[in-house]
Amino acid sequence: MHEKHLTYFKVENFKRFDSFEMNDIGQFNLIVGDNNVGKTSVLEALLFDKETMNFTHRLLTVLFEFRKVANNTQNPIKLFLGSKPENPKFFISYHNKETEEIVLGKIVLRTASGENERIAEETYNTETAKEKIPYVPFHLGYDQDLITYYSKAIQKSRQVKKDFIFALKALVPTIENVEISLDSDTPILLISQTDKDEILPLSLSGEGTIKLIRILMKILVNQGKRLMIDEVDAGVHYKKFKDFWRTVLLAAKENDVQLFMTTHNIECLQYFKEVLEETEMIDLQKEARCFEMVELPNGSVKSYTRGYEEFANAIDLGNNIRGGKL
Amino acid sequence: MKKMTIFVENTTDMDFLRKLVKIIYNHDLSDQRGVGGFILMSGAGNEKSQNKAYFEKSTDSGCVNLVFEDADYKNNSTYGFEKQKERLEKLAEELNFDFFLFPNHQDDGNLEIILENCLSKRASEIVACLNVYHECLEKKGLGHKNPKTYHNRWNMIESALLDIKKPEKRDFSDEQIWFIKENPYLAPLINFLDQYFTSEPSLK
Repeated sequence: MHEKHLTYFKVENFKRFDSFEMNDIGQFNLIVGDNNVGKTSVLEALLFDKETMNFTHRLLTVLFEFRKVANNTQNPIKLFLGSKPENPKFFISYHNKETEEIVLGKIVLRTASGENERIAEETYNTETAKEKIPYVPFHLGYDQDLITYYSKAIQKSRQVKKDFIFALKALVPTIENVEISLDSDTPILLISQTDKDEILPLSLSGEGTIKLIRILMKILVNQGKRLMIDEVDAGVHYKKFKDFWRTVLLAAKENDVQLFMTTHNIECLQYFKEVLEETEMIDLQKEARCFEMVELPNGSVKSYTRGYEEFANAIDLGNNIRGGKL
Repeated sequence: MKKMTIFVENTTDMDFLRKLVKIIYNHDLSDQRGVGGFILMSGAGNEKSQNKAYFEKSTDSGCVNLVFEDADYKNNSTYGFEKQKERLEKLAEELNFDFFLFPNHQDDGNLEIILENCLSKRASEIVACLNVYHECLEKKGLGHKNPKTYHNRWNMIESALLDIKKPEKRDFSDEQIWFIKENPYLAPLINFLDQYFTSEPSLK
């Protein structure tokens, strides 16, 4: 695993969590649990960046752009860094439909190199472009950001483009080329397939194909970093899960990307296990983890870590690993 | 009654314990596979390596953890009662559970020994017939065609007494075959369960 990848993560006073930690993190991490247990909030906390403004911009972009928390000047959303003292180290106010206060407390991360990272007090280097945010929301289909990814990360290198199209064959075996069209006012992505004469807009492709394209592009632009994917299974047909997993995991391995992915789907978990049993994938087993998030009787949320063997055993025996109240 | 998670080796253990608790305490144990129900462990020796997260989650959720495993027979690959007891006593402190070793928390053996001792009088008579049948097959060098295993024998008893070839699920409450209620052989197991279950009134 890349030495910058996380092996431990703890967040305090973040959204619904007083304190939440994840131990023994691997490179390929599934996060499962009941509705409203806070899986997506964990992904949001993992947007953490030592540069405070990067983190707040990432977080706010996810909340406003992806999760559609509406603006309302009467009821601001508030972000603090530190433990919400009278004079917080950092404070930002945004506008929200309903009164909601987000308090960012202490965040401690431990990387594979053993280095501890803490929030810096300085604020600089704003990173506003949403295509730079290492996050794949579950509902986002075709959007203009894909053009940016494609032009910046893929089409500049023949080899990268070749690898990208090869990877897409997992879901679209007949795909031949992807290109940008400038024929209309707004550039669009087109795909050509060996079995079709017309070259069609990518936006007409199925949700699963667009999802895979988005994930692959995000992996390519986040080399050596971490990527958070909400509801990784959304839009993928169960018969394509194996091909989907093989493609995503190999691309992440090749590009040293650490993945954090939420899901509710048992078939998605089963195929994750089965793909990792394949001869060429066995090496990846040691980096696979499943985190089961559970709300305890006292209202706190705890995660239980399963390595590949424990996870695979539970799946094979039909024991529940997807959380839920008793 | 406290919430509990019951860790067993396989589905036969689970089915037997559910019926036993229903017959003795009139209590319906959930057949859900998870904390608050049953966890299948796929054999002894997997408590920590494969199931640590379940023990932790169950304890954190306020459940009592009960482990039921075969004592087995001492040989190269299995433990026998004394070794199993010693091994689980050490683990019980770390993973927070109480345990009972089949058949009676005293001798080497397994769940099959309990079930053999829970056959009804009528079923035992069939066993006598089957013993003659198996002896005869072996003399003719055909023993391997229908091996003398417990599960084979119970299938044949069910086939003879219930007029079914092979039930989808063994019904331990069927008194034509099984003798559970007031069976003295089950006393050690029931003494153990008494610590965690109380009889619930019947709705008759």
